[in-house]
Amino acid sequence: MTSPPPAARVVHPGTALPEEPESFEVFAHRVLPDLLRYGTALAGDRHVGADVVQDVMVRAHERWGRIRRADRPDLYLKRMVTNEHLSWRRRWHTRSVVPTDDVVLHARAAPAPDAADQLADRDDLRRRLAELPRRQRAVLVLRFYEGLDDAEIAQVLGVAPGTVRSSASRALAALRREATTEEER
Amino acid sequence: MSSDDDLRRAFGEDAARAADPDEVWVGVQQGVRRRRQRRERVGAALVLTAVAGLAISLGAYLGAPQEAGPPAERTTATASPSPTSSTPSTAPTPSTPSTPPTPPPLTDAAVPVSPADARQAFDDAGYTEDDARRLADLWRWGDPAHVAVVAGADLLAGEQLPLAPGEAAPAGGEGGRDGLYEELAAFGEAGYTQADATALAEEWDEDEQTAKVLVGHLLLQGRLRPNG
Repeated sequence: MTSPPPAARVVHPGTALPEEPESFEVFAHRVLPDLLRYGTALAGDRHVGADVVQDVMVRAHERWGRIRRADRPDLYLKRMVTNEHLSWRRRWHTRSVVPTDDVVLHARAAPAPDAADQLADRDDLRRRLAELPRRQRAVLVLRFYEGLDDAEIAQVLGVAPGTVRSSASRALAALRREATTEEER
Repeated sequence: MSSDDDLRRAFGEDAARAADPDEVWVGVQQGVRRRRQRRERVGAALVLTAVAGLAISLGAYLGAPQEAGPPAERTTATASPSPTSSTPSTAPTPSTPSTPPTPPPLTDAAVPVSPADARQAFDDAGYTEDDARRLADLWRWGDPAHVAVVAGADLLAGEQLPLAPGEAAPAGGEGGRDGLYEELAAFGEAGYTQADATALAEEWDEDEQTAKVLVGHLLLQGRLRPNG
């Protein structure tokens, strides 16, 4: 997501450009598409992702005076989305929601034969990702989707970089283990 | 086997299914409106509570006998009714209100532990949702989420819980409780009202019962004093 070009303003020589604080509405329109994509990748579900982001944006509106003073308000929001998704409260809130497996949905949709294997592989990976603990999945999303390094991931999650490395390592090991088990069947 | 590229592609495909930002923005605006309306209701309730408290205090003051002494002495006697006082004129009068003094408003800054802090402590200690359910059974309380908050506050205070992470409840019911009613009672006895619970719950983005239970527990622990 790129920032909109700054509006042209006339600045008289010797006059400092006054700082115009960005309104919440302008900020929200700028970051919402990116935040929704991130939230959806994090949750692995369109509706849960949208729900998390919407809740966070409502709270961010209340705290906008503080958030806009942060170095990177967009990263601040990303951290809020991550924390909200990982929060105990939301886990309790959504624990009864069991999304239908994509494998089941594709079986109902009867994909074209030549794409079947490829789709099955992708669905299998998505299923294995869905079975990871949320924090481990978050580490992988931040690393592979957001392209952050371990130190940056540690900042977003509020943990030590060593914890990020061990979480990523455990997540990747679990994915490999699952893949091996599937191949043996 | 999943390569890095497979993972990038999988997350990218998930991200591409994101909801329409315009639709979500409508939801955000509705949420902001709902919160604003709720805050206004809470504000009105707080004003009513403050006016009622003022009226009670004023009524108590006006109803007190004039011969009870100068105001300064009367204030001292009311604040700390000492049985060893040798001056009859400073003894508490029968008109002293029996309700607790109205404490300052409850705010996040005034409460040392938030529900999020408490849950995090519970989580960090290795406890899971299943543990919270087992603890809720042991403590005879229907909502394990409240139990997790109270247990987390105990952990933050350096106390041990009656069951270790993943462990079954003690056979003899050791460490059991009869609900969290003491917490709810402590909240009310400290002079806090429903409006306080609503305001704090709003600030914490939690439900009111969670706010009452946690504040009550912190009062019982002595970690929160209603009048500082």
